[in-house]
Amino acid sequence: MDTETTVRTLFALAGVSPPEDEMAEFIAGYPATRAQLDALYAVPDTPLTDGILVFRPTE
Amino acid sequence: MADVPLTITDAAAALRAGDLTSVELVEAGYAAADRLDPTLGTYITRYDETALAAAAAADAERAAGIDKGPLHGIPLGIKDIIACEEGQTTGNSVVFDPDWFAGKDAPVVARLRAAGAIMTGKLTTMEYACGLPDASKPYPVPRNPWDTECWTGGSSSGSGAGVASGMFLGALGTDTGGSVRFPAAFCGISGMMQTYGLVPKSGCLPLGVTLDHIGPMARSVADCAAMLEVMAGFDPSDPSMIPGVTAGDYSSQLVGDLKGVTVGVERANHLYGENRDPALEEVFEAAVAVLTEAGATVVEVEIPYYQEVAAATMLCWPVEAFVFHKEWLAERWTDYGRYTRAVIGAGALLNAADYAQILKVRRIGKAALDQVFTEVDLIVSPTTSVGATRHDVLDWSALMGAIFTPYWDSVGSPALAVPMGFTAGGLPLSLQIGGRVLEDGLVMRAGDAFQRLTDFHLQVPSLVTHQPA
Repeated sequence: MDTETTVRTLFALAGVSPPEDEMAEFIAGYPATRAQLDALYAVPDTPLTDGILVFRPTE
Repeated sequence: MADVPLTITDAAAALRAGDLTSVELVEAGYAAADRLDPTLGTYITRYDETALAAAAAADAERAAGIDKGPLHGIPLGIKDIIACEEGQTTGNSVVFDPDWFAGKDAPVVARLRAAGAIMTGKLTTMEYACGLPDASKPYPVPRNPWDTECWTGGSSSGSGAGVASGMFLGALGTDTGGSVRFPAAFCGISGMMQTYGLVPKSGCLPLGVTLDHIGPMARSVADCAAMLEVMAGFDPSDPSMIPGVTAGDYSSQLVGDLKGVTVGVERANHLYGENRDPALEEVFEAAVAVLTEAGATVVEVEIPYYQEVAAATMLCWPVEAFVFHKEWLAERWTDYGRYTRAVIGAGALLNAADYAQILKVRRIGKAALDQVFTEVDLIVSPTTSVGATRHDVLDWSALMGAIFTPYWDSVGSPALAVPMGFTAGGLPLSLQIGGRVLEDGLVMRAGDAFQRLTDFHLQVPSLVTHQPA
């Protein structure tokens, strides 16, 4: 999926409709955001990651 | 407030000695605001009547032999995303619910009030504590008392400017990616972001719920310690608090030196690139020398995954903010400021896996930091790479590259900003001191020791000292 379609789809799924001039800015900025996110996936896993999203029923 | 003490500590001593009344202190602050606030844009709402009544009550209590501690009769300002019983909380936005927390104090405000502090009013922030100043909206644009062409930093903008200009002696700010430490740095005061979960944040409009802190801002670290002693401690209204956590006796930990303390100096991720003030390196190295003079052992460190963890902070809070604002954004997009909707709206562009990965990276980063903290007790760096930025060249991306605060929000550790010198143009530069979780006292001990050997935190902008003819 190309960047413009991705951004428009994500906003549509979120139920938010920025005006076209602002949508253009989101589309222009998305590759940099995506690159930052992809860099996070490159951080090596550790055994700790098993407990990252712990649900405690007592809290 | 040229004729009254600059710090809470000195004002408390003067009040106890009978050299000053709380009414005089509050009146002096409001006089400063009358003169300067049309330019600085610090207050959104002033509570003159109730503040002066509370000050008179504090003076009467003191005359009757009642001493509630160092905050008794001290004027404070409150960032306008934190609830006070005196009035509404606007969040600097036209998109808000006037009934939210109406007529009630946030627990942290209630604690300060019980300790005798005087709430003087609500202070400017950026809308919902994010984005940039927006002159198109019906709220003041905050200006820096060191140079009114420059921004205060944010988002605790009024808190920074008001302390630096003597409108009040301390303030509450909030910090999600640096919003206590960043304006403290730009305005030349001290700002403390304590351990995550140490201070209750119920009654405060959320930005990033896994990152938000309410923190003290004041001229000196000793003042921040006095405020934090009152603010900290478990409250069941905030589920993100550390269970059973209690406030420390932080003031007693300010022993005046750093003997036996190992300080790691983090240059690798802070002193590089083009976007830094020419004076930064020299000022920072001089600050490190002061820490050595105070008795610290200084070593070089490099924080693992620094860039990734800092990025995680700035990717995390827009998602969490989007959840809070989603319905309003769908219905009232253009009622939000342009910068606000740009940064919160971006939260819609991350998917669920991205958010989970952000949380994972924060945990990995914290574990790696814990390893660094087996070798050193504290880590120091500049708080920002530049002095206050001019309003006419404000740019979000450039600013984000010049701010070294976000890393510490993601790992939950305490981090403190203290003034460390000036740019060639006379704008404040700031030293950041980070420490282990729940070692807030040691972090403030270092800042206080630094301030006992320097006077940058006591410098007053010429705008404040200049009296009109």
